[in-house]
Amino acid sequence: MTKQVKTRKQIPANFQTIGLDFLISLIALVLAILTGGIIIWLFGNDPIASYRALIQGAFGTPMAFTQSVTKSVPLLLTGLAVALAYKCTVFNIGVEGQLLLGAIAAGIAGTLFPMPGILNIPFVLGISMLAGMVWAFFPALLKQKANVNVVISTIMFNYVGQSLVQYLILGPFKAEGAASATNPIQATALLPKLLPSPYVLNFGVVIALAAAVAVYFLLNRTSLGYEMCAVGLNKDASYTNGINVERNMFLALLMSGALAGLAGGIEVTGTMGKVINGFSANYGFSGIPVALMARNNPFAIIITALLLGSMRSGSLMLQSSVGVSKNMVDIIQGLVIVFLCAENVIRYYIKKGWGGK
Amino acid sequence: MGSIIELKGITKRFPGIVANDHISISFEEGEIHTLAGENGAGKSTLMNILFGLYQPDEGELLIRGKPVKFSNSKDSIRHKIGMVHQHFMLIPKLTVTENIIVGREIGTTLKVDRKMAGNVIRELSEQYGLKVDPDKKISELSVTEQQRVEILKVLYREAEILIFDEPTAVLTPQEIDEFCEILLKLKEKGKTIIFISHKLAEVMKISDRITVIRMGKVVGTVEKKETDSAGITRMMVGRDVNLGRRSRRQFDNQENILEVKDVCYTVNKTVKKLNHLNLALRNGEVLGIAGVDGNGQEELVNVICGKLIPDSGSVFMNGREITKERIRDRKDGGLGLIPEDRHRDGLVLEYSIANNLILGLQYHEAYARHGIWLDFKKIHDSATVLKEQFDIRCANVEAGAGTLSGGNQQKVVIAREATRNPDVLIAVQPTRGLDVGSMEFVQKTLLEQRDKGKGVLLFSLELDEILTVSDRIAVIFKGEIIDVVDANRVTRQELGMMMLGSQKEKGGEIIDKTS
Repeated sequence: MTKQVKTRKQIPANFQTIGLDFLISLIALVLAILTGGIIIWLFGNDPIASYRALIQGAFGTPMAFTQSVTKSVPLLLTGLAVALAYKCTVFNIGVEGQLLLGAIAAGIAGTLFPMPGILNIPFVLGISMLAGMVWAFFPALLKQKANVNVVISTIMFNYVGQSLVQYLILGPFKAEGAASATNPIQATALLPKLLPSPYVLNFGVVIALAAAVAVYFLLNRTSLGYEMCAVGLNKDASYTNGINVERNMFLALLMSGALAGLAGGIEVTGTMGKVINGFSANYGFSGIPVALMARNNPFAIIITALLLGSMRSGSLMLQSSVGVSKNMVDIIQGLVIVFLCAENVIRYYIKKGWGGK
Repeated sequence: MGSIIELKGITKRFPGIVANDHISISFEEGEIHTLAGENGAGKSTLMNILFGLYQPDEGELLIRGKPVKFSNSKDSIRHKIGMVHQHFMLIPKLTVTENIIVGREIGTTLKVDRKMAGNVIRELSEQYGLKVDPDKKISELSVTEQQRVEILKVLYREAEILIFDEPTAVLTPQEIDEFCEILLKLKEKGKTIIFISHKLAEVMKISDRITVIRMGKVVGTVEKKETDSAGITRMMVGRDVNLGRRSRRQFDNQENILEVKDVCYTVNKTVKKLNHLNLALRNGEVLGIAGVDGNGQEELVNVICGKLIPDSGSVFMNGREITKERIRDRKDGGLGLIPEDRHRDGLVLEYSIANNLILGLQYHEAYARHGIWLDFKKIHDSATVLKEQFDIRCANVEAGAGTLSGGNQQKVVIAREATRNPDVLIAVQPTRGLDVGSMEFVQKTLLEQRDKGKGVLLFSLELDEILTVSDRIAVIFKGEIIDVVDANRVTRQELGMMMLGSQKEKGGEIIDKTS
């Protein structure tokens, strides 16, 4: 008995917290899936068959798997965008708008100048990041100059962004003959494919993974990340010790916007090859549960993005083979958030359970 | 009077530490029994065991001779034990009554009878002289009043044994006096009181018996009549503590290294917080700022450290004007600050000790390559050195700062500011809430800075601290420095009078107002 106690005590404290956080996210996910199952059952379908179809659709074939990974790429980037800002207590709800702006900017820039791929791709993606950043810049400026709540201003900028992008796609940049899309970008601006057809994996996944590593290094290994996290944890102590709180929050929002813009850019250069009206299936908003489930840990975001991405990818099979609407995955995603917000309740029962042992 | 609670061989272990090591104490009915000991000695752990929040690993708990086992606080409440926590557990948006009856509502299942509850509480409040209005909201109450609500909460649950966990840490000296009255009144009404404190003055004032705990063990239990403060201190720290004046290095050619010139600051266009304030700090001295709380001390600190830009006037450090400089530049220019509220302004509690030791220094070449890439090896090594040098008691420097006791947290702040090797060190209430051992250490560190030829500006509400640590004392009154005196040539009484605005007639120098 005493020996057992000792081994548990030797685990470093931060590993214990990470373990507990992981457990809580897992419990929230399981509860969401169970509740989702009940909802499916209430509508007269077989929950087990539905989930089987979902998994089959997401991972059933190598092809389905590459599709799931591809769907996860924008979620990974938007998740990182939400997490990075949140670490500095900036709640960037405007990821969706920033992503759309990034996409349209990439769509336009991709048609502009002929250059070799090695230059064109960084150029187009750079422009998309810049566009996302610009769309985050206005709320950041409003916050700094007039103390406008970032949550509200970024939500509002989503609407402005959506309408603006829609106008650009259907108006000045509408392709000849196309119903609702821009002209295709140049072939040199397209991201290289990683696997031969019919698999769909493109280089975007590598960029997104690199972004996760970059965000991790930024937050954990640099003085800027140290400052941003310090601001997130204690603004007063940061300020007293000479850290510019406003500047850090400003930068966090801009960098978050850049990541969101990059997500849009990759969708255009990697998947669509042009900007199609209404292409974003709420990738920006879904970044919130991705980050929330991962507790803003960049590496955990890789996993949660893959999870939610494959759920979306499998939802088509769910609809076609079992007849459950593919929007069911949105319900599950929403339930995950609800259960994650009940974190303290879960934590309480875990602690109680441990105490009883 | 028999023993009402008996602790027998209570042992509680936490990772890496034995918080309570075979502790045996017997509390008698109707006494005020003080548990004294340094921060981190294990007093709070012991009381949490007694209150059922922790379960002991070994040992026995007897109430009126019968062994009991508490698995949560409900059990202890049933045995009429009540606890007033150091950090209040009240809901600010609810009224006093609502806060008190939470969990024990009067009335039917559907409706709480607030009126009746209010009457019960009013009666209790009068009975013990607590003067609390049951209908007020908690957010409208002062700290003392909130504390009384906590006491009422315990009394409402019909507690006979009241545990107070460092209740005076948050109170001013006057409030402490009033609080002692309340304790004596409770004792008069037959309650048994267990009082946790490390402030000797009040311990000696109200206790019947005193048990001293050091490093998780009972050093001894003594009758108050048979001991004195020095005796208790010796038991607590394990050696004699020297808080008096020490010999100091003498300096020739002292120069002003910090000058505050004619600074004014007005709040809301009407309240003059700083009124043409002049102050000069020399190298190699501790300049104490004495004054009743709220006479402009906070604003003066903020003007010097850069949180506040004055309406007029200027601040010079080392002859360079810094009135409008950024905090970061001031600190890099030789300013160190030990802030008043270490939890709010001093530390990021969620960060590790090592990370806290570089707060504000994170871009310095010593800890970050090219000012960008944090060098964790250097940070860790430097933290380990500081841990030894400043006697920060922790399992290791990667532990969270929030896990440290108050004294050790303060040592982290001081260690960090000392590594800046500042020319001017501002210490605001640096020993507040600390035990004697830590207090001595902090004061010693300030004097070491002084002896190194630095200037130390000490803000404190404790007159004794001002008198023993300072070389000169500046008295602040209504936003003005009304006098500067030699600390060796002023008495406590004279200083007290000056703090209330009376100019000093004898001794000391009058500040040169023309400069």
